[in-house]
Amino acid sequence: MNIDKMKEIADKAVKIAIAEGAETAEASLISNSQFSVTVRNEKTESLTESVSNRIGITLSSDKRKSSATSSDLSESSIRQLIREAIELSRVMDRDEYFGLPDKNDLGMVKAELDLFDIESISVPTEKKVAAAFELERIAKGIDERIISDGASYSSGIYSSSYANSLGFCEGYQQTFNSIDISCAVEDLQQEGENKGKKQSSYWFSSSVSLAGLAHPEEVASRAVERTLRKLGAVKPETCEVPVVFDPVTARSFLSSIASAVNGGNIYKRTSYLADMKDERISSPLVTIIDDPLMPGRLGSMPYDSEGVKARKNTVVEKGVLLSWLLSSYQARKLSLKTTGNAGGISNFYMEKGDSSVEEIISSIDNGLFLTSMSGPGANISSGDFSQGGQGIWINNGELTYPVNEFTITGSFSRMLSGIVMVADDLEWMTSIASPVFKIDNITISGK
Amino acid sequence: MIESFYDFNTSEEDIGKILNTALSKGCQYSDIFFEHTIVNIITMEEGIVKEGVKAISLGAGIRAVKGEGSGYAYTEDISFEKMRHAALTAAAIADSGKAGTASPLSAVPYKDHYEISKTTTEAALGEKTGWIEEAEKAAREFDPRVVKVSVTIADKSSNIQIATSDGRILRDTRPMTRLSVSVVAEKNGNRQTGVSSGGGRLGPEYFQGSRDPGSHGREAARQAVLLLEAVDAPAGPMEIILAPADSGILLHESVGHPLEADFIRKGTSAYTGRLGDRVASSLVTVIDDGTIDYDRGSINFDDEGTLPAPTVLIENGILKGYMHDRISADFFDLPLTGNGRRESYKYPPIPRMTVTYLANGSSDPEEIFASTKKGIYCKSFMGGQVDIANGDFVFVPIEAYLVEEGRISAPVKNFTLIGNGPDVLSKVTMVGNDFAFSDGRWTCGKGQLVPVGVGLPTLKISEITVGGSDL
Repeated sequence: MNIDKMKEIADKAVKIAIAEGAETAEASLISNSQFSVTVRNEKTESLTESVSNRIGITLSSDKRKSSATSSDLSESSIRQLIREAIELSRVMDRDEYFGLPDKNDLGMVKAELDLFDIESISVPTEKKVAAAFELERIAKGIDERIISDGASYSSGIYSSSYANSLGFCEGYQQTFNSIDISCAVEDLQQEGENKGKKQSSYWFSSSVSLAGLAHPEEVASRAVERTLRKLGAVKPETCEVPVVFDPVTARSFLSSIASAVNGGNIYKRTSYLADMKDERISSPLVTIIDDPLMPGRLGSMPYDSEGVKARKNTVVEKGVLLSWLLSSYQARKLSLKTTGNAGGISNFYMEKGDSSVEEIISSIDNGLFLTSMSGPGANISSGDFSQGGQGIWINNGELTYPVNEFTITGSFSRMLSGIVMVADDLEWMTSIASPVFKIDNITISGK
Repeated sequence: MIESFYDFNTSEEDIGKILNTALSKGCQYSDIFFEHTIVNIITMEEGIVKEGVKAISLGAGIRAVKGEGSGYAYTEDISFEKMRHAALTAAAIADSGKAGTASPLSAVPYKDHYEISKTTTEAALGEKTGWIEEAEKAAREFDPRVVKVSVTIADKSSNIQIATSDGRILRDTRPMTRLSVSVVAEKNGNRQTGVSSGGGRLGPEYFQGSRDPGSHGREAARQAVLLLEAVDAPAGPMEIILAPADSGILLHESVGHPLEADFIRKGTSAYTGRLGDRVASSLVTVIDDGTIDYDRGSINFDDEGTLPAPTVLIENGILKGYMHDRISADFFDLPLTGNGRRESYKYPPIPRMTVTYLANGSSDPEEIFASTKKGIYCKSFMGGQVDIANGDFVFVPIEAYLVEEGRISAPVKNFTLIGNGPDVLSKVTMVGNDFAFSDGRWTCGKGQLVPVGVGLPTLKISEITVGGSDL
């Protein structure tokens, strides 16, 4: 949908809400235009294409707040939605901390964020389908044992507008492109109940721009390599050893830290970092940034979800927790100022260090290179950490045999303090990125 | 319920034209999924009813199927022209072949597995805040170490209409109620969280049953306070006893997902080609059944219009069947099982579980404990995850205890259990006679979120790797 039209609808919705009796009102519109094709074994498995729209209204009277959202953007429907929201707000309790952001904090970043790539929206469907076929063909060509679990090409345009009763009304559009492939391979077992055992993995690339996508050769070869290197995996001994987190597990670990510094978890005391501001929470090798202003990145944005001008925040600097990530409400609850993070993180990353991945691996006599984590055991509230794992064992400074069916257990504070090496490469796959890092000692439970 | 059914305002004649459009490029099957859904979420935290959200969604998804391939498009403007356009988009999955014709529609009768007089969605707002406050008060007053209480009531009411090119049309209102309580207890900097939640395809009567709001408040608080005293769990392989009901998530992860037939059809599941093989101890019978009355995972018909029935997946340890959607059933030329489910009109259906459970056994639970010298007893769970290909799965307990010399001793915390599906199920050595279904709280994520149910009697497994930190 056209951005001017979306701004007009949001602005109109705010005016209707005020006219209906709300004291404050905000309206956000999101329009997602999405395309996705998946091919498998030289056939198109699924092809989907659609546009979804949603309006969200948040309003308050006497500090009693409510929200309503709908997929119907007609004026009559919006008016009805607002009336229902007003009715809902009447049963809510007064929340003295509720309010719109300070008017001086509102605004749109002037700098060019390069969020819209014309080239990517002009790719015809046939070319996207062909690209998915090409990706699968390359992967299967690398090794004949590969079973394809599907190669996909997805693309879309995300359009949004936001208006509030302080007079803010803006909008922007972002393009999205992604290719991915999943594969499996037979891992035949001589005995036991799991005769059908297989190993599987995947790889993907996603980007705002078409030019930012990785080459299909690279995506395919990494998917195949990650799959084949799991063949013959064994269960390791229960032990305590140094662990290297690869880009996938490092990113997963960092995403838990993103939740732990989220203002909502801080004021609700559901983060183990709730009392740790300005304290050392990590080894001095760790610096963590949230930066919405990086041109062409998936998490970039000109303002946050309540219209506060986006800005770069240093969350952890050389191991010291400098800032939580806050909306205006969360900031008021904590007697602080908003950091422009209503809606959460933007581009959240750990700064790269100065060791090469090879140096990190060769520094370990006996340890683990962790390539996959699973399960809901990363508990940011208690700070306890426990995950299922898969990886490759390190012996005498070299990657040797694959391991699976084990857990790694510790605590976030102990693990962050134990980061003793950080790699010099930062790979952006999503809006969260972490370099490879090494933690000196973690409990592994296996045989 | 039908009297309050949402009017999608599309005649059967127009539906027929749309189904035909989806068949116009050579697909052999098409369907339309109409949905109008209202969701209400009210949350109390820090002692005030703070968040209130209402969400309304309306849309229609049109699918065209040819062999294993499917085209899909949806529209939130359910005018005839927009739906016809979506049908053309979906039809493009096939680009040659003869245009097909949809059969005339006739309504398919079905049994109502969640007959209620009123949905929670229709309940007065004041009634809902009353239940929330009751749960909050019970949790707060449980113990002085309780520092935070958060209570949410979420209700959902979906009007669904499905029409298929093989001439079936079905309409249903699907209710859902869920109450969740989360409690944080603190003592000397140690912070622990307890949770309790439940519900099902029920209306307000859920809150008048044995699991009234206060009982959930007290249960969450009890867990949080208990965990303050918990010790670090051991590390290494151990005997495990699972409590009835919620432990069913072990089944959901270990064999449920790998028996969803899309993974079988693609040859990526560890259970591919193993029908008739022994994949579990002879004490193990596993069933998926979408007809359990009022259960969170039940459905009157699945999201492609198939009526559910009990599907035996494993019988006395032997692999008997998979869970199918239409595409996989056609691929294997097997009967439909009623497992084609989707999150909403925005998604095509895929094979999903409904209510997955392990059938009752004959052991007295006391006997199960008495036979255990040293092990871990798990009562409630945060959730789990599985690797379909190699069969490794994890699940994470919330409330668990050490078992020593047949007796429950200290509570333990912070651990993940990891096992391999076929391996762990072959190590089931005792099955209790105290079967129970979980109170409705589980949501399964497989690209799309759908509500599911689980159930299990007390179970003993001779060895699972306990991933604690105490070596």
